[in-house]
Parts: sequence; structure tokens; C-alpha cells
Amino acid sequence: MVPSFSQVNAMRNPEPNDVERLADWAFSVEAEAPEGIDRAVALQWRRMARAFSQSYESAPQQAVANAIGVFRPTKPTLLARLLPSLSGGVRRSESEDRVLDFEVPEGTARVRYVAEGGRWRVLAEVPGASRIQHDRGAAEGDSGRFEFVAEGEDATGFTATSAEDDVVFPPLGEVEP
Amino acid sequence: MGSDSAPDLDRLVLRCRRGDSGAWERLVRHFEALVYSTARRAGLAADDAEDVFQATFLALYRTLDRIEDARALPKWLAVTAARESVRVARLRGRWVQEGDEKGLDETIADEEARADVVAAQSLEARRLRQGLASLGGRCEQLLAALYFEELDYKAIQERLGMPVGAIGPTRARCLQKLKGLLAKAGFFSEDER
Repeated sequence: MVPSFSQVNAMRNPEPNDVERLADWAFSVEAEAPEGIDRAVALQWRRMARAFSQSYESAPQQAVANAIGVFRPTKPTLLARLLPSLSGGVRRSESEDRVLDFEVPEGTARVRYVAEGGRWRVLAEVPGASRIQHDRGAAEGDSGRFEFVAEGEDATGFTATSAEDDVVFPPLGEVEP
Repeated sequence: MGSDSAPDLDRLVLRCRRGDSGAWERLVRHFEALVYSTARRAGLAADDAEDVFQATFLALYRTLDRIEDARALPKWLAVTAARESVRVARLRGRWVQEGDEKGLDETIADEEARADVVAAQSLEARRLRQGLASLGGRCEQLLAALYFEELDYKAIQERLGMPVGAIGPTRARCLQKLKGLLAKAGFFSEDER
């Protein structure tokens, strides 16, 4: 005879007395599950009881810390790729400013190069980057925005650092067609 | 049950390869007891077991790029730790008598044969302890006293201030709660649900 839903439910959610019987049985060596208890439920109890007796010893915290310290992060270094739409014709304003768009892992980076006498002011927006490194040092970003002054066109390159990778932006002379 | 109850090993290994130190830390914490227990079970003292522990995780670090199936990691770690344990034991002057080389080989073979089971049991024990910690309070104290320390009811009465007559029913209720937590965390395999 097929049991009703309420009967099945009762088997899977044992009454308090049944819970005590199950607990006793789970930690015993008895093979047969207690009468009237769903076998699948009984086996879960037995498995839980068995896990209590598994040999288990945590490593000392210092050993764990040392093992964690083995890891040396090695982030990939990628080259920012000038987007094809602009590579054929770089926009030049009257003040000789240049604006280039690059493909980076997080999307599109835009870099503005502003001529200031013999120097260049570089203003970059690099999604995902937290820091850049250039010839004269490093700059922390504000929401992926960076600014630094390069002594010459050859010094306009920089490397943007994110949690996932380092992206190299070549100097202006190397990316302009 | 904690965020590391069932990590996606493939993803963790991939993240490690990309240089994510957080993923590495999670891997170490997830498997630390498996590796350390293997060394201790081999009869090593705590200091030697720590040496095995370091050597095993260093080996894992150096192997990260060659792991094809991260599901095999528990077995790989158990086997590596067992082999390293034998090596350390040999260095410490055990198994030096003539004829013991066969014993060594057998020991390694036994450990390798049991590696899958040992790894599964260790991870199961870890999840049980995580569940117990989530349970917390009197239930955690009671179940730990009963099944880890194996105290008798009288000792438990003295420690927890719980009447002897209440220990049995409380134990059953606590176990039922624990079972519920474990079920939610996927402790029980599909065929037992």
C-alpha cells in the first residue's frame, strides 16, 4: 500500500522519541535501522555519527600561515592595444593634444596626452586599475583616473596595475601610426 | 556553515594560476587538516608533521600549472603527504633496519590505496566540525564533550551543569539541529537525501 504524504513526511521528520532512538542507533554498531524509521534518514544519521569519529587534526596556525606564505602572486603583464578605430587617424587638436583609446581587460582605457612646452601631461582613465607606474615614479588612482607629467614623448608610457593584471601602455611615439 | 564548506576547486586552482593569493589561502585552509592528519597518522611528531605540511603545500604550489582535474586534489594531497611522511620518517632513523624497505613500499602503497577514502573522510570530518561550530552554544559543548572527549554523563553534568536525565534528550535535539545544518550545506550525498 502506498503511504500518504503525511505518513512519508512523518518518516522523514521523526518524532522526539524517534530522534532519541535514531541518535542511539546512529552511534551504535547495530546494522538494522530502528523500526518505523525511514532507511534513508537513518543512514544520514549514521553517516553524521561516523564523521564524529574520523581522525582529524588541524595544523598549528603558524604552519598554516607559513604554507599560505609560500604563494608568490604572479600577475600576467599585458599590452594595451590601440583600438583600430583610432589607430588609422589619431585625433590632433590645435594644441597638439592627442587622445587615444586602448583595449584593456576591463574595457576601454582613454589616455589624453597634453603638450606643455617640451613636456607632456598624461591623463589616463583605465578601468579597474588602482595604480600606475611611470618613468618618474608611481601614482595612485582615483576611480581609475591618473595623471602625471612626462619629461618627453619617450617617457609617456606607463604600466597600470589592477588586482588581476598589469597592463603596459607604450610611449606615445610607439603607438601613433 | 562558513564560506569554505564546498569550494569550487577548479575555480580556485584557476584563480591561483592567475596569481590570486586569496584563492591560495582558501585552498590551504580547506585542506590543512587533511594534510596534517595524514602526517600525524603516519606516526610523526608535531614538528615533523609540520615539515611534511610545508613540503606538501610547496609541492602543490609548484604543481598548480599542471593540475588537469582539480577534483583529484584531495587524493593528490593525501598521497603526497603520505610519501613525504615516509621520507621524513626515514630521515629520522625509522625503517632503517634491513628488510624494512619492503615495509616502506607497502606503507606507501597502503596510503595510496586509501588516499581517496582518507581524503573524503577528512573533508567530511571538517564539514562536521564546521557545522558544529555553526551550531554553537550548549549544543556544541555537549556534542563535543560526548563524542570528541568521550566524557561520561556524570562528567558532563559537572562541566555543563546539566542534569543527567536531560543529557540524552538534549543530545538528540542537538544532533537533529546539526543534521539540519549539515543537510543545508550538502553534507549528505544525493542517494541518501
